[in-house]
Amino acid sequence: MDSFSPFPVDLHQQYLFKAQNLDTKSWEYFLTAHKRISGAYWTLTSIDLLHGLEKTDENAIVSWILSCQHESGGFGGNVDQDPNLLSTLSAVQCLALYRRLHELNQEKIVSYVASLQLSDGSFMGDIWGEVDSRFTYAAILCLSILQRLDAVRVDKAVEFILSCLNFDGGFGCIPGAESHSGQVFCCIGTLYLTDSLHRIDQELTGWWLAERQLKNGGLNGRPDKKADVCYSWWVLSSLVMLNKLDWIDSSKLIEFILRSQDLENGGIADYPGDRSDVFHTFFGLAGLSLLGCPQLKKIHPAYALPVEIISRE
Amino acid sequence: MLPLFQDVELKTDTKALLELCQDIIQDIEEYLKPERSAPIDYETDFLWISALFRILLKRKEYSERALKVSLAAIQNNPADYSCWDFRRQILRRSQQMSLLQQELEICNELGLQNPKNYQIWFHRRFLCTFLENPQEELEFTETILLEDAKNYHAWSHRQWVVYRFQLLGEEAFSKKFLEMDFRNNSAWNYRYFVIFLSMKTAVISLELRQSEAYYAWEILQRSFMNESAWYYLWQVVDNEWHLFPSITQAVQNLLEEQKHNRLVRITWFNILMNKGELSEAQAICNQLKTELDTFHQSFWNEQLMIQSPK
Repeated sequence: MDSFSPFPVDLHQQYLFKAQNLDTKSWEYFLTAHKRISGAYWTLTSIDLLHGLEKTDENAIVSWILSCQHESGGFGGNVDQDPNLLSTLSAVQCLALYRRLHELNQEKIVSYVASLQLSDGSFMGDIWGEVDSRFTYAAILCLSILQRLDAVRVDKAVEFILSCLNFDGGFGCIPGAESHSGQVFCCIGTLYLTDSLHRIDQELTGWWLAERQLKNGGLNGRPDKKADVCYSWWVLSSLVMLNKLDWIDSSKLIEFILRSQDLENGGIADYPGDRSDVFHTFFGLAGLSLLGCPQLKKIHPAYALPVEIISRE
Repeated sequence: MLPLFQDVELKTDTKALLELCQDIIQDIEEYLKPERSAPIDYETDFLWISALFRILLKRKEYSERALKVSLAAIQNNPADYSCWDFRRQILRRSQQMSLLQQELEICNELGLQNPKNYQIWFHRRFLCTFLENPQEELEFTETILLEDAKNYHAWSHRQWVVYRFQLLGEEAFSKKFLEMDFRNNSAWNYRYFVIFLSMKTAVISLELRQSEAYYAWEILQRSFMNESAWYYLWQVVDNEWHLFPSITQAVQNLLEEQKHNRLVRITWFNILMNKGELSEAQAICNQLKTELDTFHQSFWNEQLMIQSPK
């Protein structure tokens, strides 16, 4: 039985609430305005994993999120930001957390997402045309939550993802690009959500993922790079989706994540001793949830939302 | 000029921009209203520039002054993607080469300061499709990589350029970076890409594979713990070890000298499986499971089960 100690749940909740109520007069608030909606997703999901969601100002948050929607149906990172796929996904995920998906104009979102698919099956991040396997995952996940995968060419999306598969079993951002744990998560997530995992050599990919674990127990993003807590999510959830969680040493990884906590101010950092931030707090908590931490809600590896939300239908 | 903010000190540049936008000062002040009632932490210039930009954006004003204002906004916060979107709207309408060239200079400067900024890298690709300037892109990515040899954006951008313009001769570039750090996984990936994937009309001969396998082996001589070199070798061989007899023999010769090296043993395991020598493969499996690669016990257990007679 793995030990999850020390793990100061209340301190982490405090940290997250403080982060959520960022001083609107601060420089940090200004600099992160364009991606506020993704910040909201990381913060709120973390709070929900810690069983604290009912303490948030649900109505204010939901109405702010809804005000980020554009005519096109897509959401921007904040009220006066241009719509894009990643922000649209974050918006849908947040509404899913609050079980208020019915308040969305779902048809408009679906048509916005579908409009971003190209003839090779890949998705653009927005109307400007950047292609990256992350965007395909965002599109497929968004439509999976709304149960509208029928609106796009799933078969072509899968073909594009497969074209990003590399010789080492990993996936890159575009065909031929270096295998990277973040991209692997997006690609495996897409294959999982579209029932297409059988199309790859799962052993080979599982192997590449398992090789991310370093002697300190942490996971890295690519060979010969430093461990980082965010990979505790991306690598781990991929292994879970491939049914190979036991291919790494769980107790060493738990130790690494716990050592990356800020036991004074709360939150989790990228590495032991560094300053915590909301991004890494989310990934650290999500990783611990996958590893069976009893104080956390169970998170779904593909949806990156609590399992109870997914299985409610 | 600014009746309600007379006591605020602004930089000359900011004042100049506000002067350019006299006709919409009221809109800006309206936009900033909520901020006035409380003291502000951050430099007021940033606030004013941001407000100016947002007003021009709302008005969809794709003008020369909008270019100036959005430039100031982007310098304050290069991650503000709406600002980059806005500049593309202006550039796309103008279609002036000189303007596009100027924009590239801006990307060079901001890109050097913010080498991991997604927006700037994508903006370069937007410009490149008009300017058709692969050489400049190669030079820029090289500059970035000389500072950070593993910058993921730089490598994938360079690959994008190489593929789009079907450029030759990039093996030398990968070699240059491997000479600097023979463990650089990005450089190994780039090598594989330029030699085996990038040319639409490439023919992969056995000769080519053998020469690349020997290159990887040469690098491995310097350290048999080099993960990426092993991965490269495995891929080039692609489970056809019988076509690479001397390297196969060399791996076997290493077993004694490199007793504790899991990568050597894993390679030998693959070779044995390839040859169909299952009981010997099983012995290696056990060794990996219990001594050399205990983190991956479950993986090796599975391998053992695969091999056992059914």
